[in-house]
Amino acid sequence: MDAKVKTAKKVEIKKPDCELFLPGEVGAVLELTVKRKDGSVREHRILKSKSYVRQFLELLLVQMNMVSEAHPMSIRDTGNNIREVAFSSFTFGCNAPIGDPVYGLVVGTATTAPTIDDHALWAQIAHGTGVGEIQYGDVAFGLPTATGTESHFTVTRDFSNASGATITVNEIALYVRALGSQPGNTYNRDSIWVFMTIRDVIAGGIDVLNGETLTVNYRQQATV
Amino acid sequence: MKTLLTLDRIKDGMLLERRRSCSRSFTKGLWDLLYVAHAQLLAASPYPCVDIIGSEKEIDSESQANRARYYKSTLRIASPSGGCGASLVSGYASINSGTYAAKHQPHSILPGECFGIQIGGGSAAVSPGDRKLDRKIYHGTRVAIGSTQDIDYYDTGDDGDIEVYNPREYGVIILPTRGYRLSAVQLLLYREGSPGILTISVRGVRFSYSSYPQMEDDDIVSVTTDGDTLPTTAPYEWREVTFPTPVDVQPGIPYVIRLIAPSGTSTNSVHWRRKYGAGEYHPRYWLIQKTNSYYTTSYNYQPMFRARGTALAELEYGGCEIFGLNIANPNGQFNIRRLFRNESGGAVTVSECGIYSIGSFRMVSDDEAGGVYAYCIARDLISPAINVLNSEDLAVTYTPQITV
Repeated sequence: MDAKVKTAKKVEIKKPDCELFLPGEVGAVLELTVKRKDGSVREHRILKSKSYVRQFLELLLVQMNMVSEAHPMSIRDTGNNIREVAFSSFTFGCNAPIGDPVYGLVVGTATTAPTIDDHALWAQIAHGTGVGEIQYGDVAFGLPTATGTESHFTVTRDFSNASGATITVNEIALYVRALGSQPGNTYNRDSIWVFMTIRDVIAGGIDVLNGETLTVNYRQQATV
Repeated sequence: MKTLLTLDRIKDGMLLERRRSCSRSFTKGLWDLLYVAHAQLLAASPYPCVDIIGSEKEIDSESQANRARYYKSTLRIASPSGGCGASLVSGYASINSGTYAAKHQPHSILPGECFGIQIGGGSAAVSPGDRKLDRKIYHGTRVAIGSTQDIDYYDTGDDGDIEVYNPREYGVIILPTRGYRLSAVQLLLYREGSPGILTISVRGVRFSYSSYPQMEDDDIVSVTTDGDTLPTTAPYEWREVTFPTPVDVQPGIPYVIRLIAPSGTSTNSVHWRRKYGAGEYHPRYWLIQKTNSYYTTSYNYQPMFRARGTALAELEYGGCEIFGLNIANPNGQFNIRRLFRNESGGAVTVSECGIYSIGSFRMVSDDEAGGVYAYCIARDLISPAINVLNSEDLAVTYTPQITV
């Protein structure tokens, strides 16, 4: 029986047991929840994401500096190609629909330690119900919120295992889109490329048994 | 990601003082803009967030077309010098069949001082919900206005009046040329019958490509006054109201001083004295009228008003530049820097700094209309405050750093 990938969900994140960020720090809290077929929680982890990678900084600079197509920035995409990127309305877009593993939150099986130069997951898990595949839900967002000491917003996605066997997720990343620069040409959707902005390796991995669903929440936050 | 904050006080190119600390204070505004970018919100379902003037504005991620460049200035920080008008494109327009060009949408030109690194003289504790500096030091070389006085005003030559009653509301749009703390307004009024309690408020303005400007739906601040105590004849009354909280007016951004008489009727109304300009338009003040949901504006009629307040001494804002991207595993960083020059003639005390950035919108009802607003994404207190003497420079540098 196939596991169901939810098409509508409520983004919720629990408060960690201890403060994960120092005052002034900007980062992401990674929350992983594995639910059984009946919806009960089998495993729940909250950890500090360690790994904004270079493309995050580069895309942030592209937008903050309004980098023009005349002087685009060279950024390596998830396909290991250098792309010329300029500011646009697409930068950071990660609202992937159900079944689209090309962008949004993505998962993989590799355990290679992150470096700032990582441009993609080392071994992304494909979308599907075949052996070693997992079903990608749509990407949802929690609205920005401020408390007395911190502000945040959340990106979330469900991954459902209907492969018939256990899948161990060892790495998680956020893939976002941006517009490539093609001087002299009209811009069109063909020049939208995908870039990885965060990659985390999960110590010990997290098992998703057949029929279970893994929910990944990235809560990007700033603490004053 | 951590952010290093460096403050350099400079005189004739010589470094007088340097302070370095970790910035404490990226605010919710950063996530508002990143959320809009990540979620790729359409103009039909925009995200409301409060801009630097305290007015809730809706922004989105949608660009105007599927043919030309997908322009959107969201998250921009780099800016020209403080007084330079920055054109922030937010879409394109067809200029003839099949040809498209970047377009300056209504509400797309902001002074450089409205975004990029900011400085101020306030001391309120930093909160993640901060929407502006506590008290911004504005761009310029003018000295402080220490005691309350008229700063924006048009108060002579009245030759008629406009009648205010429910549902006819009026306002005067002002486009300030200096930043100040607006604490009170005076309007030249008289009454007909018993108009009851009047409300005077300050609102933001929104623009459309093909229709009249409109008042924002919510007040930034408001106050009431008893219209039944106004005189009924000349010489009328300069009715003064003091707002419960003052409004920090940002030059280059339009505001409305709005007058309504909620219980007024055509025979129990308040009359606002005005001058008929007969084509002699004032470039920065003009009338706006709303009847039911229909807006009109007119340059011909000039309501009599005085906007009163105080102001800090000014510093000249240089351009805000972004440079020095440097990535070497496991670290990466770049710099955001702005220079401020004191030519005010006296010392200026700087006790806070921050970053304003751009959010943009597209109007659903008009596919060529859109514009930009400014949002606060970071705020830091400077303690102890820095005294910048006349002819000295202050360089403020934010350096975002990531480490894997």
